[in-house]
Amino acid sequence: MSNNVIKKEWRFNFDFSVASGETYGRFFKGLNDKKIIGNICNNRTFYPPKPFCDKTLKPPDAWLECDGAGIVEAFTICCEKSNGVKFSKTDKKPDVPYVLGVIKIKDSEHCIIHFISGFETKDVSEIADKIEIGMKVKPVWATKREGEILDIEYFEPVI
Amino acid sequence: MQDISYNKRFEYNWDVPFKVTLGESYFRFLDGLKNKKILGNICPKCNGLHVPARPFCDKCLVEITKWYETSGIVTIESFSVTYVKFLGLPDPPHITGIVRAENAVTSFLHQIGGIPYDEPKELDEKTKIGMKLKPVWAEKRIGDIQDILYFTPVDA
Amino acid sequence: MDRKVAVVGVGNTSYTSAKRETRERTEVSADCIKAGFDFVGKGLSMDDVDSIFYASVDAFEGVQRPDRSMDCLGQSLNKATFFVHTGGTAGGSAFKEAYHSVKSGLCDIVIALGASTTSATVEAQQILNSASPPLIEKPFGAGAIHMAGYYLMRYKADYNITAEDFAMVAAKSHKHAVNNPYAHIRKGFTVEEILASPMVCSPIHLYEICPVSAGATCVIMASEEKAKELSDTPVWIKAIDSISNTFLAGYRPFTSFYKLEILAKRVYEKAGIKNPLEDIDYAELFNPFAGFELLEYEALGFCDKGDAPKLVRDGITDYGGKLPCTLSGGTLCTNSGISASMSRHAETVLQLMGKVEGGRQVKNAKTGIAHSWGGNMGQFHTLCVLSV
Ligand SMILES: [Zn+2]
Repeated sequence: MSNNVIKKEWRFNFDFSVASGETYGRFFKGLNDKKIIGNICNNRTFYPPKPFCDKTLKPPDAWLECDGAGIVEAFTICCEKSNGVKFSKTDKKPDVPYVLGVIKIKDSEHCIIHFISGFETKDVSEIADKIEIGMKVKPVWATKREGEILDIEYFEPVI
Repeated sequence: MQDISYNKRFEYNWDVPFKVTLGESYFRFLDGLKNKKILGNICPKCNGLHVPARPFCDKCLVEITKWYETSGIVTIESFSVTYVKFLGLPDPPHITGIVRAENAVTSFLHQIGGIPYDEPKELDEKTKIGMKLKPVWAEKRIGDIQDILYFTPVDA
Repeated sequence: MDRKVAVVGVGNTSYTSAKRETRERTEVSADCIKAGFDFVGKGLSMDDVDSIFYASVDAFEGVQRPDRSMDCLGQSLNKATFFVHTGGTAGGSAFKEAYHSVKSGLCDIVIALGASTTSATVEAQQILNSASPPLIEKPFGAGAIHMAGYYLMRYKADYNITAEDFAMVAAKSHKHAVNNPYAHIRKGFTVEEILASPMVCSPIHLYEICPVSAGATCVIMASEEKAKELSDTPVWIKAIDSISNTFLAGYRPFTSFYKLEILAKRVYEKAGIKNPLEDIDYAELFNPFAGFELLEYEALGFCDKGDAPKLVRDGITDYGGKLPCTLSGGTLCTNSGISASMSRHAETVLQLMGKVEGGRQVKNAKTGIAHSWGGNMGQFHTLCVLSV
């Protein structure tokens, strides 16, 4: 028995198409226009916005808008290339090392996951020195924007 | 009421490779196809003939180790003629069916072909439950269920 | 311990085609649960709910464990959520799991949600085929419709069933879906139109096949004590069970829905049903392919083998008949993947509560049954007896 006969291989190849709905649609349109859209519900602020309040299941009270400046709540420095990870349809994949962060925009109750970059070095220990929890960051906009989450290329430290 | 003018559709794709281990029974069954043999095996407890061969009998939950080479002739249990183009399927009309080898306690799924027709619609009548079929083998066989291209009437 | 469990509320969203859906996935679920709370009234909210059972199929939704993506399920409110996935049967299975949680005494109020499963699906065939056994069945590209074809071709041959017999039971569903505000296809196709529609896989015509829909359905269940507080018309779950079949389709006989036959005997015994045609007032059956309803009549003991078309021709299973069946239009007219197997229960509950819209309300229905079918082209059935 050789290896290729005792194994069978196949692939799943599925196409999907999902609706954004109004709420995420507004958020993505905002990104296209270099704005961060959020919403507010019972004095709870959300960036990105929520389609409905997770407590009452009712639509939120009002739309909000801000420049996207926020605080790093947590982060990790990714040092190894990972096989099979595609970042988006356009695959704007950063080279290693890169930083993935958890960012709280303004007074939002929840955070957003995004890249943190702009350290002007590829040295892991130098990057580690330049980033810390609680640090202020702001979005850096992609030149070509298509109304998707990577319209923000990354967040960079506010100096 | 939502304002659907903001709605945007996002498209994405899953393309995921898989690899499974055959185990001895399926290996021997598929390897048999490579040699133009349709192998079954017989449960030591209930004497049931299983075609395709399988590792254990699902009634008795005992290992099946006794091998049996069938004549290759199968009987149609049921079938359906596909008249519409399906993604990933051969052009219509094509027939898939459930066929049974000899007096096996299990049947299996395969394609049925070589039934002559003038109008595709006739295939519903010309293919018959209970009809005896024989395998048509692929030229190049690799140890796969599709080493049998399709089953065709014995008198064809 | 004999703890009674009732359904006190039903929630439905509107249904449309998956391609036309404009709601984001979680919004559909949130709308559905909110509709369930509004149905019950009395200020019922997520705070009162102990547990949520979310029924769907990962590969149709394009998310692994899609329940995790639904923050309307009360994750931030510390609720326990469970994903139930038995393929197309999942709605019926989640209903059963929800029932267990209340029956056992561990929960008092729970929600079972049948998701808008196929709303992200572009080509249902890609995904249906992935449910097939990979070594010796998947390569043939078979999907649910082929399995349906095998059952119905065999049925046709064994009992001389005609194309018109199949079309008549399909027309019954289409006729009633017109009056169901929560149905997706509401065109009222006639027997002639059905027979003239293209043959897809023999013996199944296009109008005898369910659509790919988007929309969700939920039920809210409660213990006896809570049910009496929350509802003037609680519907009690008298008996419920499910049954499994082989993974390989080739190992199944295609001569009848014999697994459902076994299941029905089990469930009827628990519910004290001796003569189904006399003892049952309403039935919602799972009919993604119209002809299935006939096989189901026979498996459920409504008539002898081969006699099901007669029940349709005599109007026995139509509105006003002795045992009206699937007056919602059924899965044939609305199939968002999984919610369809929960809708059977939801519709039966509404009939027994006397709250069906669109002139389809059966008079004095006291005992009803709800059935679901699915999982790799029919690997599972669930059956539930409900009563007032
Ligand atoms: Zn055995």
